[in-house]
Amino acid sequence: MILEYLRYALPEASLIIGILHLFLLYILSYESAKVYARVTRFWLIVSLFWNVVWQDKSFSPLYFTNDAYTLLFDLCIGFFAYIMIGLSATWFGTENRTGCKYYVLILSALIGINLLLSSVNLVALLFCYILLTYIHYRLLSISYEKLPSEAASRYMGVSAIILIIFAAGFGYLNFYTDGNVEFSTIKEIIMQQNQSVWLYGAIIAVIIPFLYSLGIAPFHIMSEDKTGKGILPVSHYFAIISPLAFWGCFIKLNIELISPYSAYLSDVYLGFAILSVIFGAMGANARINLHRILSYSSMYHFGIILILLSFFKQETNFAAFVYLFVYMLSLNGSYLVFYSLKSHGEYLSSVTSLSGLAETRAYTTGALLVSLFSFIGLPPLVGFLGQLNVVSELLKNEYYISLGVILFFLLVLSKSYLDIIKTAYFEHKVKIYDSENKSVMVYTLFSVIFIVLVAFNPQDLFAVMKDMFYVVNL
Amino acid sequence: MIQIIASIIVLSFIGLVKQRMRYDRLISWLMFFAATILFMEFATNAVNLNKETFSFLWSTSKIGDITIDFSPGLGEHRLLLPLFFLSLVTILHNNIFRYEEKKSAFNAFILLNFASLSLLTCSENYVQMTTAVFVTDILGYLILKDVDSSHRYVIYNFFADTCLFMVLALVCGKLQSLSLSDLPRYEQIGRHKDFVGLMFLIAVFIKMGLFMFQSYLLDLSAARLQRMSAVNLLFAPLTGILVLLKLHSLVEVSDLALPLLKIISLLTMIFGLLNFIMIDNLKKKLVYLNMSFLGLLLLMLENHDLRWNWQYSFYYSVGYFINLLFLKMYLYQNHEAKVSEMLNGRDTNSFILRTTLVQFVLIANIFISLIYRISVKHEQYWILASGIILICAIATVLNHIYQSPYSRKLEDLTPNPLRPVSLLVMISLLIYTSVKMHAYTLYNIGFILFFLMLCWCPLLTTLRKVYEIEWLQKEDLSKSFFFYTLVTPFMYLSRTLWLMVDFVFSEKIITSGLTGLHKLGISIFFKINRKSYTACFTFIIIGIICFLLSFYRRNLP
Amino acid sequence: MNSYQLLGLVLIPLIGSIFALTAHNDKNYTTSNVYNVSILTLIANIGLILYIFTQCNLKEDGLQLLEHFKWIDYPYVEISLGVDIFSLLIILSVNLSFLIGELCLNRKTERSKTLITSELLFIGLINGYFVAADVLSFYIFFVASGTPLMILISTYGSQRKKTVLIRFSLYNLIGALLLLVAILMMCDSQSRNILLSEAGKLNFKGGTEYFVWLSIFFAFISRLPIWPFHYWISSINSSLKNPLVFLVGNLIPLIGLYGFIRFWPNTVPETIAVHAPIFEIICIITMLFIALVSLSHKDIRYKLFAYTTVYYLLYLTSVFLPTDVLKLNIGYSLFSYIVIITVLSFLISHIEYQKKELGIYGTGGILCYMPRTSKILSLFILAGVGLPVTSLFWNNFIIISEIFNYNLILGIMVMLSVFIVALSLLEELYKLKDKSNASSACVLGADISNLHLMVYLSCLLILFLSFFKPLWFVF
Repeated sequence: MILEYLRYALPEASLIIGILHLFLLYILSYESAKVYARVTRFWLIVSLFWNVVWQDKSFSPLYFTNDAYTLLFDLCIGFFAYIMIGLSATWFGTENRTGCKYYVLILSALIGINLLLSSVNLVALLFCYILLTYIHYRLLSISYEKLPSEAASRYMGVSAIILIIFAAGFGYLNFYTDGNVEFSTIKEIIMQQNQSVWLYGAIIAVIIPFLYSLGIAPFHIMSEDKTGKGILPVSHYFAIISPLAFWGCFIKLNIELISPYSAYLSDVYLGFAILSVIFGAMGANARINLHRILSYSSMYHFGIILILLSFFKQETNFAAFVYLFVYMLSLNGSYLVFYSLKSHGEYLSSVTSLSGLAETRAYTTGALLVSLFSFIGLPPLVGFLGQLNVVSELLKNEYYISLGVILFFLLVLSKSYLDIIKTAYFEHKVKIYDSENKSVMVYTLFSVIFIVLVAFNPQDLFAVMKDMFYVVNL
Repeated sequence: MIQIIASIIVLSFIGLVKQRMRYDRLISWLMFFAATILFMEFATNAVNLNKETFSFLWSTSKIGDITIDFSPGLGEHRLLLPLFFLSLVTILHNNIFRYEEKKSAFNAFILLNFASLSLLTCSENYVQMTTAVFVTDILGYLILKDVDSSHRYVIYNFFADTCLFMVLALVCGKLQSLSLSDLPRYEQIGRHKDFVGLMFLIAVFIKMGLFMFQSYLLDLSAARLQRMSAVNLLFAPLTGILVLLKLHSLVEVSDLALPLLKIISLLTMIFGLLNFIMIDNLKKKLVYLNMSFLGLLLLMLENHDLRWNWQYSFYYSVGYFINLLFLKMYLYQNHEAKVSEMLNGRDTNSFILRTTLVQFVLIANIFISLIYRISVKHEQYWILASGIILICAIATVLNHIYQSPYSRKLEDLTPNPLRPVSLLVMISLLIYTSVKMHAYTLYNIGFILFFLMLCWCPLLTTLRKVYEIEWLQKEDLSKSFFFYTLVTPFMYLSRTLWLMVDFVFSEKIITSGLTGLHKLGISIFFKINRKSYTACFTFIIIGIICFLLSFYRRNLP
Repeated sequence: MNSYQLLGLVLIPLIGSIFALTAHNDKNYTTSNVYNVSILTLIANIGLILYIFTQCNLKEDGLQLLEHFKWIDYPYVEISLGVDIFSLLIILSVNLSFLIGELCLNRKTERSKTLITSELLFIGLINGYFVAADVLSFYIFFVASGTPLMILISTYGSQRKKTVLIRFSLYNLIGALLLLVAILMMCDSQSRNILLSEAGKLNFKGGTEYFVWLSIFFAFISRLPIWPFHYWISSINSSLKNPLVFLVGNLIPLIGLYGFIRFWPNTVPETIAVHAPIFEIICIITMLFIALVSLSHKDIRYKLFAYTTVYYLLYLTSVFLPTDVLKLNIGYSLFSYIVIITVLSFLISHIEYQKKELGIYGTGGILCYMPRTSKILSLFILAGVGLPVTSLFWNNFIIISEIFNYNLILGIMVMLSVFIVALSLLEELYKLKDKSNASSACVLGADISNLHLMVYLSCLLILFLSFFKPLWFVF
């Protein structure tokens, strides 16, 4: 019996073995980042394989449950993680670092993410959240050699407050349910006693950490620093992998735990979403660091996702997922461009470093352009599919004012994107860029093709995704 | 008949083909002989009144079919026959006097112009008519070649064509028909009749170069005299006459149009006469002379309900020949454009200049006989008086030439060749015409003596002083008028609009306003979005408060 | 059963752009390879268009050869494509103009790969726009056609105009977003994607109706240089030195005009149609304004831009008339008009290029060194201002007569604008021919080549044949 359950833990076990393998390589003094990357990717693939095989099995059904929904997110995260790990090797190679710590932390994070997505128990949720918080702290502390990791310290400080809130909420719920903190149990209790302010408060305490991790205003304090202060691979992780995981979990929470409070929470979600949209648009215009601009851009887009979730309907939840997926595709495309922005061995991150990029790197600039246009939602790029869903749902539900605000601030946000394009095309060349890495070029080309192909023929992919997503409603 | 026109067009294209200079003379003479044969055939058909109808369906539309029609009747022949004849004479003189390097090209344009005007005369729908008008304008532009002279020619004619286009579009829109035969209906059912009448007249005035609209014809003086003369007599102004005749119903729709036409015609005649006497430059003199001819012609037509007859064709031809004689005068004076500098013919080129004077006398005699006949026929003797005044003006100018104080010039050593063919043709024509018109009565002889007396009258010689008034010679009143009343205000308006709207409003106000708002937004963002722990706490507390507020709002009774 | 002909019109240029993008990067061969790919693509496309003409019933009104493609399930969207004679004419003229452009372009242009790829992308997307038969695909192609435009203007635009480009893009984006909302409201009311012909039959009430239709029209207006928002597009256009990009810039207003032609006649509800005079007044103000400004403006590109704007607005004014008989006339006229502005763009670019090569800084007299260019330019300017041997003249005659039939003042203002802008072009022509500024020395090699001359003469022949029979190429 135990063995039977243990084999269901193979996805996580593969990742643990991967960590051990990396340690072994480190002990054996391997110095090439590519080797570490290859090993990490291998064990990632193995984990994904086992995820597919045991897609509806769990090693601890009391705390964790796997289904098509969790598989969907696992696959998406795995896909982006695979690209990220491959590209990070070039970064570490340029910096003459092995990146072992980074890869270990990534694999650890993936374990935490796997478990977070599968959680059906508040204990497991809290445990995974704490684990991920710690891993994120460690990731942020990987910095450029001479720079202090003040961002990591500040992150820990703020996260501690959030964890206290989470723990407080968990504590009350644990007390109230006599230790039976499964989502289904809590949901039943809420449905019977939804007038209790303490119960409500406890649920809020569970929601706030997720809003904080996703960078939703007014809990957005660290979102800019997570992507803006860290090294490029870390920034890449915080931009794509982390939000995907937390959104997957948050959507699941909304459906399996929080839905009885939908009447109370929909207005709050809407308010926070609008605030995120505004902050995101203004923030993107206020910054000149590319990573920070994109972090605020993410804040804007996450605000839109939150608006869709505020309806607490099946269709809008799926629309939120579609929007998230297409946004991540486009964001991934932008990060691929950042990996090729190098001058004299130094990776560039300022907008001014793009001056004259179009003169020497037409393909790279084109890829950046495709991503930015996809953010704006211009057809026939994939971002349009997300925008179509959003506008369609808002009109169906008669949220005209929200729609107006979103569209207005999209214009404000677009200005920041256009400033980037302007710098790349119109300014004279300031830096001499290093020659492009072939693997980066291949990934970039693949990303652009994918962005375009999905837009041309999305129905098969989205049909499969829809079937997998809707499992969470069952 | 259409075959003749087609042959003329083919002949013209042959003339336009690029060839070596030594073949040019041969081709130009061949063109003349071929054109003469075609003319004889044309004349035979015209005299026998062979009414062949030709109509080719070009395109169809909801408001009518567009056809190319060529069915000249008696009315059309009155115009076409003399026009063909004058074109032939132009070609002959081009070949004789050799004043073009490429004679065949010049001949080709003259023939094409005739073909175009034929189609204009025989047109039965608006499209054929306007197409012919445009084609004539372009041919005029091509024949001028000179940029300075053709500049305002193109602009003025373009404006006239635009006015015509506008009027016809308006009429067509109301009548829902392209046929010219439906035009008289406009008087009953049409709207904006005054506008139609006046715009039409403006188009016609410009085309004909009448009073206040003659500037572009004066610019033609920058071109060679033979080209200027051809354009002045066979192109734009003649087109104006033909358009007026075809569309005369549009003059009748408005009560204002006909009086305006009369006033302008009168002013044109008077203005033309005065400037013909006062202006020193022979080329400009000819423009003014033609203005006075046209003015008188229009006055006569208005009294005849704008209907053309053979007498008016004859009148136009006489006007043409007078121009031709002045052209020869110019050539015999070694291309001297200023009358004040011309030689009196006593020492140099005396035979040629005297024979030219004889031709002037004969043609003046023919002219006065014609005018007498017209005035007697219509019982309007003011026509005779006007004709006499016109002749007197011509005599005055001849006086200024033949009574010039200069009999020789230093550089003038080679006398001009006589060109006997031209002389023979002209003298024969003039004598034949005089005989045909019975212009050899005592009155005619008396008139001839009077004319010669005017040519020698010392009183008229004193009028030469007017050539020394510089501002009179240089100033073009109509050009200045249009420049200061139309061109300058438009240019100022244009620049003001560009500065005020484009630059100040669009760029500064709208753009600066938006930029200011943007900066304000960012400054507010920086103030709110601080990185301190205090800010962090504040945000979290705000978030929690929002959650709680939502809960209590829902639970309020 | 879909015949895929119309889809082919969209895909052929897109495939061509991929070929151009992947052309081998050998300095000796890249340039000619890329241009050859483009020319072959355009020829293939034109062949397909002519074939489609033969498949259409010339007498039938409404969209024909409808093709339907399922796109996404959620929300359920089916893309429909269809054509009529009008849209086919426009597509043919646009493709033909680009073919003319390719043949006459100076092949020493920098970054030719970017140019050709973006150009083919633009052609594919604009073809899609003209064959779109439902509102959503109409929107998709309407917005998508702006993307290659941005790439081209960013690559070849003047550095001084970079901020203007941002404003212009944002202005277009406003239009695009409003159009998206309006179209989704339309789809939402029927719970499905609706055909263009059904758009006018929807029942919206009061404020919603106004919002939907005004949003749609604002989107189209954002592509037209309507006062007071004309400054940005005019500023960008006049700074584009590359003739192909200049041509693309001059075709932007065609997108807006086409939108109005599709949505206004027979489609717009009566409650909106009564406000047509407001649109007409705006058009007239813009026409007059731009025509007047072009008089004193020294840049010949601005004058050409003013000419194209005035004529676009002339067609737009005719769209607002309470009659639907003018559509084909507009189509025939537009066909000639697009060919004319293409040739003029390239001739002007040739002149500018020669000015630079010869070191001449003023414009006066340069045509004295280029007799062929002088003749061709004169002929095309005359054709553009109304020489009556092109279908432009005849169809404009019909259009203007209908305008006069509707309102005299409107007609006068239209004619005045047309005259002023034509005058400014003619004045510029004379300035170029003014030999007082030309040197007496003979300059060789400045004139257009034999190939270019043959191309321009072919264009003249096409214009002339179109006058005889507008659809002379249909067998």
